[in-house]
Amino acid sequence: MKNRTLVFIVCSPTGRVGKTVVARLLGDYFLLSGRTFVGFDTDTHEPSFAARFPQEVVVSDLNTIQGQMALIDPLLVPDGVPKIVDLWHRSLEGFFTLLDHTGFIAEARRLAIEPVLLYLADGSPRSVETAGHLAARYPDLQIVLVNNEGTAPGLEEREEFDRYPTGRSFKIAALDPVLRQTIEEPGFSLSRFMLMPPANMSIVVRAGLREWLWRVFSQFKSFELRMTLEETEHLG
Amino acid sequence: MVGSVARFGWPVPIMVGADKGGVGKTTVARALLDYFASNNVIARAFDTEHPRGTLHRFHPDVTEVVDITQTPDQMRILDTLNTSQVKVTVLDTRAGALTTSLAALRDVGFLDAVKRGEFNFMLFHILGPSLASLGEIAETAPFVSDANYFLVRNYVNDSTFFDWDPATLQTYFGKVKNASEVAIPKLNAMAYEQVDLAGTPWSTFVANKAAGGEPAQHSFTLRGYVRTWQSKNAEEFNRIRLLDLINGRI
Repeated sequence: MKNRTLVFIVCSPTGRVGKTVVARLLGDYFLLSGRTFVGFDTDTHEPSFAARFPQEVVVSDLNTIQGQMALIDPLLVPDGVPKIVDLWHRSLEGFFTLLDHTGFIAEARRLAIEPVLLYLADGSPRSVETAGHLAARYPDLQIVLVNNEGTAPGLEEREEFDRYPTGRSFKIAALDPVLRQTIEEPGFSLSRFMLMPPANMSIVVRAGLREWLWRVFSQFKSFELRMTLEETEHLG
Repeated sequence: MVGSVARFGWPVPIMVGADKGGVGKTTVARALLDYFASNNVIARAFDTEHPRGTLHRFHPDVTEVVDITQTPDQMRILDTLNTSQVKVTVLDTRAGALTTSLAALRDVGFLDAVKRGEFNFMLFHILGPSLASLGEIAETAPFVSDANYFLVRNYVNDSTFFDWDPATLQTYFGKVKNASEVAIPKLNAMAYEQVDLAGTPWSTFVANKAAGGEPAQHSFTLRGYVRTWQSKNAEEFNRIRLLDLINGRI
């Protein structure tokens, strides 16, 4: 069995749709399962992903060649450690141009590195259009739609949802405002919460948060398992 | 009749030059040598930047440093064009020496030999971003009426050809027959610098190797930029059908 290295690219052409939340959930998922990850935050103005994980995440400014090197070069290290890129919507086009200019996809394939696009869908025309473009531009790239019910409620029932490229999708349930406030507190770690909830925490908050996280993490887990099954040889 | 048989093994002297310094002649000469190598065309080169030799630093295996104004060195270049096993010869002329080099070549009878069809002479004239370069074209044109004349706009270091208005350009281009345009695209400055530091051919850098062939630690990002730039160059050289030209097929 090959040892694949996963590179998650969390993106969307618009801001405020929950990219950093998804990057954060993934990061905590790996930490909770006793693994580590390497993260990148391309938002130089407000690097909130980097602020959550000072140990694991670096900020890289894609406007400079140094920043490009600090992102692209480590992404191509086939060490089995998952990489998570929280792609600022303003650097979306620059990032994909960079992939093209450096021949990233071909090199990743050669090194058994699997880029996975986690695309935050919000149902806006721009979002639908960009997703279509990306799917056409990178036919071999795995695109996973993320349906964030907190920022795009009821998206699944709308006809726009069917216009996205089909494939796998994750669903992130809307979070009760009280719970949201809890997880948005600086220094609140989702993985530490799962391992050992603070003793003074309300039991209602604790149960609600656990339930919410469990539903997200189980989707990540099943995604990972399916990837493993696909790369297993001798299967039927 | 000069048929394809007669043209087989036709010597191809390729001169790369400009009358202005700092327009990236050596960059273009390096791009040509790389293109030839990747297409299995064996080439040799002469670096007339005597005695230092920039081209020599990047392609030491195939490059000799010469002084084109000295008779012994002229003999080393011209007298071997016919006898050398290698048919393609790239001449990187010193900064500011294009017209004088061409005059020297005319004086020794080389240009007459070109006219008689003895050599398949090509000139890559690297233009600077200013109108002065257009004056150079007028000066150079009379020497190269029998050559394949390429006017190269070199964007590698981000030159903008700001004062080139199409009408003016057309008047100059009209004066030269056989002239075609070649554009060398921009290359990321840091990538350019790193290859410069490495002192290797472009493709060696892309292959992540050092000058001696041992593995190097070049950044993938920079290698990627160089590779993309190389393939754009190759597209340009393919577009002008350079390989067909050196094989005498057109």
